[in-house]
Amino acid sequence: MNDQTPAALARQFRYVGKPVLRGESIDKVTGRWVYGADLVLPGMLHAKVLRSPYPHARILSVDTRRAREFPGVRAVVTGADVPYLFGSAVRDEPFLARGKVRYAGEPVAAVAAVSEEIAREAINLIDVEYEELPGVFDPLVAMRPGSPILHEDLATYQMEGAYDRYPGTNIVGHTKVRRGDVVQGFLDSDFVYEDVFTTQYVQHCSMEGHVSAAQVASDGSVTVWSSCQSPYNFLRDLSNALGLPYNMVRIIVTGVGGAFGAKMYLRTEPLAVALAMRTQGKPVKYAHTRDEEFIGAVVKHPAHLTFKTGVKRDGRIVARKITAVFNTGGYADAGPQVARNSAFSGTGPYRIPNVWIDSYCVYTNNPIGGAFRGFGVPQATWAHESQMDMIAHRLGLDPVGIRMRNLFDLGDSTITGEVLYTSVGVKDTLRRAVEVSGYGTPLPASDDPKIARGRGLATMHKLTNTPTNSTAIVKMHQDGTINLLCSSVELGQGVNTVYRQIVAERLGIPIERIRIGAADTHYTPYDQSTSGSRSVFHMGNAMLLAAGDLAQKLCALASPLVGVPVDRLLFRDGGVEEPGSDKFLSAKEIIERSFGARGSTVQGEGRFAPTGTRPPDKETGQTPRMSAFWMYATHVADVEVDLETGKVKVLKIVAAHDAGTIINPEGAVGQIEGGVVQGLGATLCEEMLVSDGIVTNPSFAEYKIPTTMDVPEIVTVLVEAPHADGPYGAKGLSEPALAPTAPAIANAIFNATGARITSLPITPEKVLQALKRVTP
Amino acid sequence: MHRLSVMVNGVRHEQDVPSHRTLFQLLREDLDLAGTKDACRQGVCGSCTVLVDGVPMRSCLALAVRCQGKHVTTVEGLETGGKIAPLQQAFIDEGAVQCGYCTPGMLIMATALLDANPAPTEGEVRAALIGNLCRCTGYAPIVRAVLAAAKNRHPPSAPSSSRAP
Repeated sequence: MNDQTPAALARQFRYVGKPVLRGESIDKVTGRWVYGADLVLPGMLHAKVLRSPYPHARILSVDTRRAREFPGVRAVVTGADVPYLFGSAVRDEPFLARGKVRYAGEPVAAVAAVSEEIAREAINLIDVEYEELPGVFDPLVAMRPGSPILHEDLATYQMEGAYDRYPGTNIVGHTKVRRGDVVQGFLDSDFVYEDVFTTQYVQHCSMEGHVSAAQVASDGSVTVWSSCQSPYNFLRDLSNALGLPYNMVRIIVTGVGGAFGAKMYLRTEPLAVALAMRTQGKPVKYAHTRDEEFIGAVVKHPAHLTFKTGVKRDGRIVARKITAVFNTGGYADAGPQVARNSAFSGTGPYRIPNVWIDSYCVYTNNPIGGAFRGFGVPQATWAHESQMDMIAHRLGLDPVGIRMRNLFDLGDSTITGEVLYTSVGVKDTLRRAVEVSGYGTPLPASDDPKIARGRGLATMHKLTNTPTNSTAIVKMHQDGTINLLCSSVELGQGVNTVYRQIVAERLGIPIERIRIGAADTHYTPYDQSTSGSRSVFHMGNAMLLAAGDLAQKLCALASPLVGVPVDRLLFRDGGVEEPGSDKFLSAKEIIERSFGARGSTVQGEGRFAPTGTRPPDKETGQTPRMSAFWMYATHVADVEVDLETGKVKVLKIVAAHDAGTIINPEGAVGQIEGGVVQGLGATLCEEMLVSDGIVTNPSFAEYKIPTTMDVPEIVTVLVEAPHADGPYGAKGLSEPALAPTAPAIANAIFNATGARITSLPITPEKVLQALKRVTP
Repeated sequence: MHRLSVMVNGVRHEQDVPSHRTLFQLLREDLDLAGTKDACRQGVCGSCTVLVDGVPMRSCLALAVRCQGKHVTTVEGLETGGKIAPLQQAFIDEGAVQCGYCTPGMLIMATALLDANPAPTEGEVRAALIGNLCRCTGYAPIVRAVLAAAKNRHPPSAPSSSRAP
């Protein structure tokens, strides 16, 4: 047991570290998996929503009479009928617009009818009179005094305590990091560089859009079926908004056809609930159309990032000042948290003694910025990794060398004062990515003189929202089979299989005997959310504790049956044994002999939350433990640039990730391959275009996500630095998969051509403009 | 209303349908075959692809009445005798299924490809699936699965001239 390397540990394991096929795939390839979109309930009505065509306007009147009288319509609702506000970080959003609209696409009225077609016809019969208000679309303008104000009532909103807000302005979140003395740091630097980086609107494009159904019982209790990733977020937010006790609101999670952060907070549900309150118990289903996904769901925050960095001649970073502005649109949604996370990991995985960060979340009359795989960290990574190569070039240093000089080692402190005590695999991700890609050797030149080739790399780290907690129940039946009860959501990322592996490993029970169902807040215990790459670490630990608790309970039951003190018994291979003797009782025998042949169940419970955490200081961001764990990654991109057209073709991506011990390599590789392609899309082809608040490309025909023909060779490298507190050493993985891709490609384009792109996406036009600056 | 007679997955259905009803609506709402998915309803994403007389078709754009007398195959029809097709098994084995929402359309499109071209190259698989969007997998395991299924259906050592259903 002295050899603690993942490879050595894996040899001891039966399930951990082994590629296990997913149990639910069989239903997905046969068309039997039931997604939210497939939900059919007895007597179900269908909803459609009338949305504002204006980005900022006062609602003078809403006339719903013709819609109410339309045959087949069962309910019509407007903001005047529902006085509730929701919002997970800031309770700022009405179920339907009240008094005014703050973005084009905001729900103004909704209809429930016996068919989708009738509901669609009925919303066209609703007459709304607006008075347009001056809008503000650029967050840098929106921050200034004198700009139109979106939320006059900002001071009155209920809000999580972690953020500063400034009533009378559009700033709904301000996160600060203060460390060392940044002014002195710049004085001590040999060179100081200031560069500006920007990112664009990206939509999640889950293949299944947002969809939910709601039903209201006679006693006022509310049941919501939702394709969502955070049932307990929904429970809290909806109960608080409606003023209902938590046990009168029930969130049942359906199959989910992709989420990527977009399904983290309420979106279709308040509309379905508002209608269901008026249908005499008939359930109401509301599914976004694809264009509603673009205009009325959430999008990745565009960011404006100013990085000022002081370095020594040898590349050592002495000081960094960041001003980050996140455009959160008409309502806060996840915006304050996105700006916060971006700040707390904003300087990258580097030792920097002097840091000053201001990260702002700003309202504008644009679509709502929400959670998107990476939570503000991909935006920061775009900036710090682009600037890292720019600085290396200016100083005449090698991009690998300058990173190695600054990257974290075990025992280093982060910018928020956390000492990294375990699992710092970042240098290994860089070393392995360089080694596997052959980064040091130049790509062979193309035969075509119009084509330039180059290589680029980027490194990053990411925190997870901390502290959060997860609870699991491992329920054993008298035949020894197990159901796992938890509120994690299988989004396609493979968590269900990982939990089965962890419990099978801990109890020595064949994985085929362990099943897991869907979350339902009436029955499955609390989990913060399936987000932030947190599930394997948090719920995995909870599963491990719950399995241990079950084993302990079975030992206690077995003790009088075998006449052996409980502390000499072990649960192994599906039963209780006394080591060194031949005494063994199967779980079935224990339960039957303890409770009778008709049986019983035995439940183990586990609750996990990281220890040693403290909320970051509001003025400095300092805390002894910012994150339950840190994830690391390095990508290397090989690209071709067409010097005549500016078109960039990515030939290959090598993606090296430190996710701690990998529980399921099959799932891990899938997360990385899929993440890289999302990163590729956000780098080269995806941009939701918003003109004065109006989305101009709200469809898959106009907004292009990568297809089979756009995808390069992807080589994944799993760097496993086991985490001391992770279940079997595991951390998390999903979000970093797309973060280094964009700067790695931009750095490769620079390597190929000397052209530097600082604004995403990297379109051929931008490349041509940048090429002109290089060779005027 | 039109009286429609159509074979779906080998079963004959007689149904009165209005002329504007899409094949997608017919399958999901009238025949309860919810395996076929939609993600755009404008023929771009490929999720709703089904076979009509063996030809892949976007069911969200196809009118049900145009299928008079035709044979329609959906994801539910890929199983034979309660056993899933080798292509379906390959999707499971290669990790080609994450959220799974695009999977039915991918399976149908790949079935059409393998029927027409039993031993496709990787490039041919990618070209055949260009109109089927997936946001989870990055496509690589889907392409691997189709190639693996082709190999299993027609092992190079024992070439077969029969076309699997």
